[in-house]
Amino acid sequence: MNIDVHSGAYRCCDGVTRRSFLRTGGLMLGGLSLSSFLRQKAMAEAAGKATKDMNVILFWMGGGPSQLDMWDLKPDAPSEFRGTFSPINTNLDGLQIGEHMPRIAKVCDKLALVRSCTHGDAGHESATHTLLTGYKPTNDIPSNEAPSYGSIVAKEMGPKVEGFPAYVTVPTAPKSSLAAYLGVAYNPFETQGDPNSDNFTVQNLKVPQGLTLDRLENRRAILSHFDTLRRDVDSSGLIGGMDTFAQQAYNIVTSPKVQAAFDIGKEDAKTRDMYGRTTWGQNTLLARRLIESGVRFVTVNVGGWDTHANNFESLKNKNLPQFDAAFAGLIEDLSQRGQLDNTLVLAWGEFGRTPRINKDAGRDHWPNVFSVPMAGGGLKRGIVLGESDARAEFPKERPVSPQDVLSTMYHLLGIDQTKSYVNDADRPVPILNYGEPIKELLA
Amino acid sequence: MKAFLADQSEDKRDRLVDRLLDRPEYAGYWSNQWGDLLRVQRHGQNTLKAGTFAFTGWLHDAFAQNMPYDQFVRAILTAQGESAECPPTNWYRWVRNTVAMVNDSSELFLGLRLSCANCHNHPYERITQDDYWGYGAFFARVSVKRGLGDEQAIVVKKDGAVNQPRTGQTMKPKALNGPEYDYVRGEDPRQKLADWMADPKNPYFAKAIANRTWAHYMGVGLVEAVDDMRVTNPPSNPQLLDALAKEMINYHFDLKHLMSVIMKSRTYSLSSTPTEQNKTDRQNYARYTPKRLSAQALLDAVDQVTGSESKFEGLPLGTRAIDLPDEAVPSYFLTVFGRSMRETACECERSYAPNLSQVLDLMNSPELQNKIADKKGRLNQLLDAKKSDEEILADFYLSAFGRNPRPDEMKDALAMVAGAKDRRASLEDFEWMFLNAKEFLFNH
Repeated sequence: MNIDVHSGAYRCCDGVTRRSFLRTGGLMLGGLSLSSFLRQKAMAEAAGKATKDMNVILFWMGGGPSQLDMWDLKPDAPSEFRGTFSPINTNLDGLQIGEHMPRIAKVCDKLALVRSCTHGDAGHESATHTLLTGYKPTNDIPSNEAPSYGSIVAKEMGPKVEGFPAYVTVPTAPKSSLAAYLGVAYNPFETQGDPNSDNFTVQNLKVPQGLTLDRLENRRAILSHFDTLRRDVDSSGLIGGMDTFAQQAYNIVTSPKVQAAFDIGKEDAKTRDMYGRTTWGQNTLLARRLIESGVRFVTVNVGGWDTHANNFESLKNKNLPQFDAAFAGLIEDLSQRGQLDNTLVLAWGEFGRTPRINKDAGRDHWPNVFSVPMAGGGLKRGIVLGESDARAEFPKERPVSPQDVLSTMYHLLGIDQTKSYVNDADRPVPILNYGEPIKELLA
Repeated sequence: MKAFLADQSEDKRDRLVDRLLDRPEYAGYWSNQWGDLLRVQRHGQNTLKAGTFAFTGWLHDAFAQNMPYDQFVRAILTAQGESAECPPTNWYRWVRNTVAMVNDSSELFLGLRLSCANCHNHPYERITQDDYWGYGAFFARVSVKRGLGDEQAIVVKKDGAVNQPRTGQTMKPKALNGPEYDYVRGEDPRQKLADWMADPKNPYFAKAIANRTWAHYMGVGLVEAVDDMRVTNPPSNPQLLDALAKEMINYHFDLKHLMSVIMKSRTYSLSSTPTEQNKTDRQNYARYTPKRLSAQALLDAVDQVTGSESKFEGLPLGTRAIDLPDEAVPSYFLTVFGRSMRETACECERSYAPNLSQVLDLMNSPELQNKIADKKGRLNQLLDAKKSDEEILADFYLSAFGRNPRPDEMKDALAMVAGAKDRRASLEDFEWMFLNAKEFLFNH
C-alpha cells in the first residue's frame, strides 16, 4: 500500500499501517533520527500484544484538580503552600492522601499513582487539547485539531460488542474530545441528562409509542429508496458520517441489550449507593454499565476544578465528597466484578494547581507538576511513581509527560502509537509523536 | 416555490435572492447568528433575561432595518448607559475586562487573534505587546456599574488610562498599524476606535466582514478560520477578498448588498455534484460545499414541513427557533444539533457536524412522531382537504426538498402508498422519510 496524498474526494479515514509507515518514513519523516526511528519501530512491534479485551474509563476533571489537596500533600511546607487539609493513611504502606478522600484511601492498594506528571502549558483550552489528544494545538484558542484518544480507541478497536457505540461521554463531551480528521463517525455519543434524577432516561433509544419495529424497518426501506443525495457531493465526510450514524441508531433501537445498558434503573440500590447518589456518582456507575455491556471507551465528564477562589471550601464540600465516592466506588465495583484487569481507569484534568495559595484562598493554574491516579488494565496494583519537590512545584524525580501516560494506555490496549492517520492537510500524523510506556507501572 | 418553478424568465434567481433578503426571517436568522458571536447569554441566571431579550430585540431591529455594518459595530463598541435603555451595552456583560474587550473586538471586527500579545510580543506576527495594550487603551475608560434592579450599566469615566503590564508604561490609545491618539479628559477613546475601524483605508475591517459573510454562504472562508487573518495564513484568493472588501466600502457597509452579490454569483449557484475535475477541491469553490442546516434553521424547517409548531418554555406559541432570545431556552433538539452556548466570540462554537444523537432524534423521538401525527399538521390538513396521494406527495417534495418529484420517484411512491394496508400510516412513513433524508438536512 502506498500513501496516496491526494486520495480522491473522501478524507482518507483508513489508518496507514506500520509497513507503509516504514516505506514512506524516509520521505515523510525525514527529520527523524535513526535511534528514535528504531525505538519507534521496536514500539510498533511491542504493541498488539494485549491479551484481554480491554476498555477504558476516563475521568475528565476539567479545570485542573489540585494535586496538593488530593494526592500529594505537603504537611511540612509553609502554611501558604500546604493548605488546610491533613494527610491520612491509606491501605498502601507509606502512602498518604488528602483527608477528604477517605474511601479512596481504602482502595489505594489497587492504584498506580504518578506524582510527577508535568507539561508547560497553563492555558485551559490548549492544555485540554493536549491532555485529551496527545497533541499541543497550533493555536491558543484551538479547534479540535487532533483526534481525542477516545476517538482513536474507537477507530482502532471498535465497540467491545457489536451494536454498541464504541465511544460514549457521560453526560456530555468536553471540548477537544472529538474525532477531528478520523471523521465524525468516531465522535462520542453523549448521554445528556442527570442519571441521579428519578426520571432519567437516555433519550430516543426505544421505538416510541404508536410505532413498531416493523414500521421503522419499512420507513428505512423507503428512506434508502428515495433519499438519493449522493454521498460524494461532500468531500468532508459529514454525509457519509450520517449514514454510519443511521446504522448505529438502528442497531440501538432494535437491541434491548443496548437499551438496558443505558438504563441505570436496572442497578440495585446497594450498588447505586456505593457510587454515591450524586450526579458524578451515578454517571460513573452508568460508565461501568456501558463498559461491561459493550462500549469500549467512556469519558466521565466531572468538571468544576478551576478553584481560583475558595479552593478548600469547594473541594471539601462539593467536589471531593462526590469524587471520592464515585472513584472509589468504581474501583471497588470493578474489582469485585473481576473487571479491573481489563478496564483501565485514568483520572486527570488539564493541569494541577499553584502550590502558593492566592489572596482568595484559591489556587491558580499549574502545569509544572501534578498527580495522575490510574488503575487496572494491566497496571501494577499499589504503586506510587515519581516525586514532586518540597512544595509540589516541580518534579523531583522521574518526570512523566502526559504523552507517556497516553503511550502507556495505548500499550495496554495493544494499539501501535506509531501508526499514522492522514490529517486535513493530507499529511500522515502518528497516533502519538512522542511518549513512551511507563515501564515501572506495567505488571 | 411553485411560482418560482413556473417562472421562465432569466433573472428569476436574482429576483428570488432580493425577495428572500426582504423576508422577515432575515432579521431573525442574522440576529441569531450574531447573538452567538456577541455572547447574548443568560448563563443560568434568569435575572439576566431582561438584558438578553433587549439585546436580541436590538439585533433583530438592526438587521430588519439593514443598519450599515460600520454603524452596527460602532453602536456595540461605544455603547453606554443602562442595559435596558441601550441594549448593545449587554455585549459588555460577558466581555468585562480589557483583555476580553481587546480579544473579542479584534476577533469579531478585525478578523485578528491578538490574545498571544497580551503577555508577550507575538512570536510570528508583527504584533507586539505594546500594540496589544495600545489597542486596549481605547477601552481604558469603560466601567461596569450596577444598574437598575439586577441590571448593569456601562459608564464612561472622564479619566483613566491603561498600563502595559510588563513594562508598567502608560499606553496611549493606538490602532493596530494605525494612528496614535492622546487621552482627552471627558472624551471616550472608543469613538476613535470606531472611527478608525470604519475608515475606508482600514486594512482589516472591511475584509473581515467580507470574509465572514463569504464563509457563511460558501462553507469555507477565503481566510479560514474567519477570525484568524494573518500574514502566515493568507487568503486562498486575495483578489476576490479585496474585491468583496471594496464592494463593502463602496456600498457604505450595506450587508444586504454584500450578501446579494455573493448569492447572485455564479460561484454560489454551482452544483455540489462533483465532476472528475473538481471532486477533490475543498477550498477553491469549484463546486458547492454541502452544509447541514443550523440547529435553529433545521427545527424551524421541521416545523414548516410538518405544519406543527414547537413550543418553547416561557415564550408564546409560534416563536421560531431562530427568534429565541438567548442560549438558555431549553430544547433537546437544539442542544444535540449543535447550537452555540455563546461562551466565546468564535463561529466554531456552533456545530454543523452530525452525530448519533441527532439521527436517533430524527428517527425515533416521540416529539417528531407527534409532529407527524399532529391533528393540525400538514398531512392531516391535506387529508382533510381530500387531496389525492399524488397531490400530497408532491406537496411534501416541494416543502421538504424544494423541488418537484421526478416521474420515476412519483411512480414508485404512488405504488407504495397504494399497496399499503393503511393509507394514512403509509403517508406518515413518507413524511418521516422526507424529514430523515439527507436531501432535506443538507444545503447542497
